Parts: sequence; C-alpha cells; structure tokens
Amino acid sequence: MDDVDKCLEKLKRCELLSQATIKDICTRVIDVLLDESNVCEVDAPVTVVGDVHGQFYDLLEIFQIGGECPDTRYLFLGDYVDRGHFNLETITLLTCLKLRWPDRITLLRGNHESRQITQVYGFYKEVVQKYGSADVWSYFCEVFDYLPLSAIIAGKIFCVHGGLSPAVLSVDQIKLIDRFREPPSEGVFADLLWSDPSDRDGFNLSQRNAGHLFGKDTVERFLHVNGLSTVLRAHQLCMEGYQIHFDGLLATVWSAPNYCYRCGNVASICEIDASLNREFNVFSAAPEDRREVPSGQAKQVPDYFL
Amino acid sequence: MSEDANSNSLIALNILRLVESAYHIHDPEIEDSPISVSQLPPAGASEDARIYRYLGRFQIFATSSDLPFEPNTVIEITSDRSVFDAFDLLVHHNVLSMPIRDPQSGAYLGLIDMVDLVHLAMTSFDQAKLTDLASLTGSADSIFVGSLADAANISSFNPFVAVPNGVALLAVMRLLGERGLRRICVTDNDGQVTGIISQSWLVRWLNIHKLAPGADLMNATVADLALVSGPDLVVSVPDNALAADAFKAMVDNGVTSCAIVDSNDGTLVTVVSVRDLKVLRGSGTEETDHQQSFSFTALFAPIMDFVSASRMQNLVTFPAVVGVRPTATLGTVIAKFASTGLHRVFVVDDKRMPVGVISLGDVIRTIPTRSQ
Repeated sequence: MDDVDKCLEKLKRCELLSQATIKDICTRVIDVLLDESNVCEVDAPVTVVGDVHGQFYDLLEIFQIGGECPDTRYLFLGDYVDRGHFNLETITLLTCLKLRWPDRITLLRGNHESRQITQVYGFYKEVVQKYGSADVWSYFCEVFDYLPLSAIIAGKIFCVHGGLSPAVLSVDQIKLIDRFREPPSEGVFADLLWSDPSDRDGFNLSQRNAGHLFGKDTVERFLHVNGLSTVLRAHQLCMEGYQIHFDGLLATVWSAPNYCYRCGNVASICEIDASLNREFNVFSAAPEDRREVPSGQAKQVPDYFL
Repeated sequence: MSEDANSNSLIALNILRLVESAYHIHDPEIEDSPISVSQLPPAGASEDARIYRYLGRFQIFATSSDLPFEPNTVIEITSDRSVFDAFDLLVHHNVLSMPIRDPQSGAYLGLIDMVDLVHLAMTSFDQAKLTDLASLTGSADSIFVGSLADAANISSFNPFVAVPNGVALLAVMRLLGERGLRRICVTDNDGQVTGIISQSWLVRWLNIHKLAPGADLMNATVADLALVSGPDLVVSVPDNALAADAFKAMVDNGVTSCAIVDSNDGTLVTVVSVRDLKVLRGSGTEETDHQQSFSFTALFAPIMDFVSASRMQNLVTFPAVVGVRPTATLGTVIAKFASTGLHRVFVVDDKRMPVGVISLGDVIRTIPTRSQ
C-alpha cells in the first residue's frame, strides 16, 4: 500500500495523479466495494459527513476538525463531485482513502454519482479540462456504480443520501436491489438517492421529478418495522449546517460550507459516539489563506458566464 | 361525423366565437362587439366549471370541490420601456410572458414573452458575421433591437387574447387547444388584466381533479392517445453543438425546447428550453447593472456549457432529463407536469432514445375532445 500512501501525500497537496494511476486505483477500489452490501453495517463511534461537492479545501477542513482518517472512522453520504472547483481532487482523495483504509471509511452513493448528472453539473467538464479526455470520468463513473446505497450504524441509525421510498418498508428490500449500474430515473434506487422529507404525510411526488417527498408517518413506520431509532441523510442545503426534522426522528447533515462559493452557509459533520449520542460539529468555509489555487488550474466556469 | 358530435362541435364553435368577441380581443378579423357575461350561453351539464378571478386568485366554481390556487400576480410593462427591460423583468420575476400596455391610453398592445426574445436573438445572430465575432460588443442593444411594441409576439407564440371573468373552463381549454394558445388574459369589467391563465395552471387543476372532466381518460396511455409525436419530429442537436444551434433549431421548428442527444449513440442527454436564455443575463446580484453583465457571446458557447450554467444557477439539483415511456398514462404525465412545472416531457424508449415529445398543449387539447 506504499504506492497509495504516496498518492495520498500528493493529493493532500492538491496535486493530481496521472491518468494511469487513477485507472489502477479505480480498478482496485472496485474490488473492495464489490464485497460491500447495499446496506453497510457500520460501527460506532463514527463521524458522518454530508454533501461535499468538490469543495476540496473544505474537505481538508473536515479532516482537521473531525480527525484524520484512519484515526476517526468516517461515513460519507455521497455527492462528492459536481458544482465545486476541485471535484477531481476530492473524489480521488476519498477513493484512495477507501483503498488504503477500507474498514475505516464508508462511501455511499449520492444522486450526483451518476453519468447523467455529472455530465451537466461540472465533473465531466472538469475532467476533460484537466486531463484532456473523458477517460478518467468514465473510470470514476464505474467506481460510482459499485458504491453502496445505505448504511446502518450500530444497528440503530439508518443512513442514506436522499431518503425513503414508498416501495420499501423493510431494509431487506434494499438488499435485493441490483446497484451495479447507472441509477434509473424511477423506483427504489432513485428514491434512496433523491427523496426529500416533507411536512405532508405519506409519499408524494417531488418537484425534482426524481424520488418522492416523504412525511413523518412514513419515517415512523420505517423505523418501527426495522427496529431503528433515527434516519440520517444529506442531499439538501442547510444554512445552519444541519437540520432536525420530525421531532428528532430524522436529521439532515450538510458538509459544504458557503455552498457553490456563494451561499454563505455554515456546514457540519455529525459525530456519533459509542453510545450513539449525536453531536453536530458546525464549521465555516476554510480560511482564504488555506485555499491556494495550484498553478495551471483551469477556471471551472468560462468567462462568458461570469 | 355523427349528429351528436356535429352538434357538440357547433356548440363548441359558438362558445368560442362568443368568448372571442368578449372584451379586448385584438384580432382584426373579428369585430369588437362587447358582450356581457350574462349573454354567454349556459354551459352544458358536464361543462359547468367556470373560472372566476375571486379574492385575488383564480378559482373554479364547479360541482366538484375546488382547491384555491396560488395567486397569479400579473407583471406588466409599458411600451416605452426597452426590450432589454422586458427580458430583465421576465427573468427577475421568473415568468414567461407579460402584457404590454400603452403608457398614455392604458390599452393593451400585446404580450411579450421569452419565445419572442429567442426569436429576436436568433435574428441578430443570423445577421452577425461569424468572422466578426471579436468585434461583437456583446451589448444588449445589439440583440434586443427595436421597440417593445414591435417585439410583442414577434414569434406569434403568444398573441394577446382576453376572456372575461367567469368564462367556462372547457371553453378556455378549447380556446387554448384549437388556437394553439399557451396563455390567456382574464379581464375585469374595466378591461384591466387581473390575471393570466396559463397551460401550466390548467394542468395543475387537472392533476387535482383527475376524475373530471374525463376520468377513464386518465388511464389511457400516451401511445393510445396518439400523444406521442414521432422521433423525426423531435427537435434535437448533438451534444457537441453550439448553444446558438439549439436556439436556432427551436426558432426554425416553431418549438420552445430542443433535445440534446449524445453525438455517438443518439441517446437523450438533456433538454434546453427558451427559459435557459436567462443565462445571457449573467448572474449578477440585485445591485449589479444587468445591462453590463449581459453576454451575447454565451450563445457561441458549446450547448452543454450553456445548459450547465443554467442548471447550476439553481442550488437544487434536478435530473438531466424528464422522460416518460410510451406506456405512461395520461394521469402520470399530468402529474409530472403539475409537480415539475415543466412545459413538455420527452418520450423515450428503454434505450433512452427520444421517440417523441408531449407538450402541455397536447394534454390540454386532448381533454375537451375526449371528454364527451
């Protein structure tokens, strides 16, 4: 694993790896991910991280305040790429960490870990700009196909990127999904990655045209049937870094501060201790002096759109 | 045609004629003959539903229970403003059209909408010499030329048509369907436009009242209803085209959106629509002078860059494409329209090849013709 350590050192300096190295790492990490269930079992204590969206320096900030991996056990809820300026560095670092410490970091799939979405929301374009071709993008898209869909912490806390599905009452139903593919636009797979909580009871159509809106009653039923205590998810911007819904039954954790470099929000990571107590550690965007843009970095957004 | 169908058509035609001859319809072929609401013929048994502007919002008073809708505040503009101001206002208020009125007389001169602005922009693009790109100042004046009154309905997509308060719901649907209108203005007794009924609003109503006026219709598939226009009618550009190519395709084909397909295998990648023209306005803040951040050169960007910039202006992520299968039911399509606020959905096969498009107009046209 010496070579992975060297890669990690480079990446923490925000340096890109060669295309051949990335191909090798992606192939090896797929082998690791193949063994993981659609519903990963994760031990506590663990720190849960929400959307990162290519905000590399804020990811480094997360490791500063939450502790480095492998010292701290991490569970990431997806949306590693798109919208940010350093999608490549972010996903490459996380992939290398998974390869190096497979038992100390769990990476779930978010709605942005898809070919369709990354072609529109920035990751594809960044790869072509930085590598001259789309090959690296297709390597990572293949890795995305192997990312698990959900996790349960200590048999009690259900974790997923988006939310619940009207077609799923038991967690066992999630295990039946064939996840090794591009997410379809409808069905359980789509719901887990796209759904949002709502004030209205039951399941309703979402304005996003993907996933569903789910109400408090659906969460109560899901937790009861599966013997769980709470749901932890990401997927929606929280100005305060996190949000508690449904009298504590569900929480949203959001880990991209000053989202899209313009929202001015704070972010958080959710630290869960061995007794399953939940603590949201709130943080702001990394200070300006820690945001050196490496030379030769192409601008994400072309001039004519500024 | 059977006699029943014949007489129904006649009734429909007469209703339409009477609605058209109501206040403030600017159709030179029809004489202005103001007619009071009470003179409209009583609606048939299944056509009881009437749309009233009441307490600041549209409400339908029908035999079934109705649901109050969000108020529909009308943004208007006077004809002495510039075309750019109209563009700016449309984007700022996130509406697709607004009435233009003469500042002196207060009369309505027409509607200006996003499609008109696309047509204007494309006309300017045609005239610009490609070798002269560098000399393009990119200023708003070079694209949005001419007076606002001239620009009104230059695309002929949204003529100014008005109906009185209390018009029959099905009559409005027929009017929209048969005249190919996308929205209709509702006026009060003083001739003031108090609201605009759009196709979107009607579809949201249909979504709630699926049992009327055509219950079993909702379970018919879009293929059965011949709502799917064939693949050769899908307006598309490959994903390596320029933004201007896509907007030109819209203008040339008289549509408001263009599919973007993979240049290798023809599968549907995403969709660009007239609404995406808002990207030209730049992403300045309220304080920024929008004229200065306006950028014509963005039209020469690759279409995928253009679409990305538009999608990323929204902090919420949406799927790249809203598609349905030919086996989807009308009820499903109406629900999709109602929940997403889109104006068309693409029909795809299981390989994600585009095989047709369904617009709001297609859906609304279907209801009156099939509801008897």
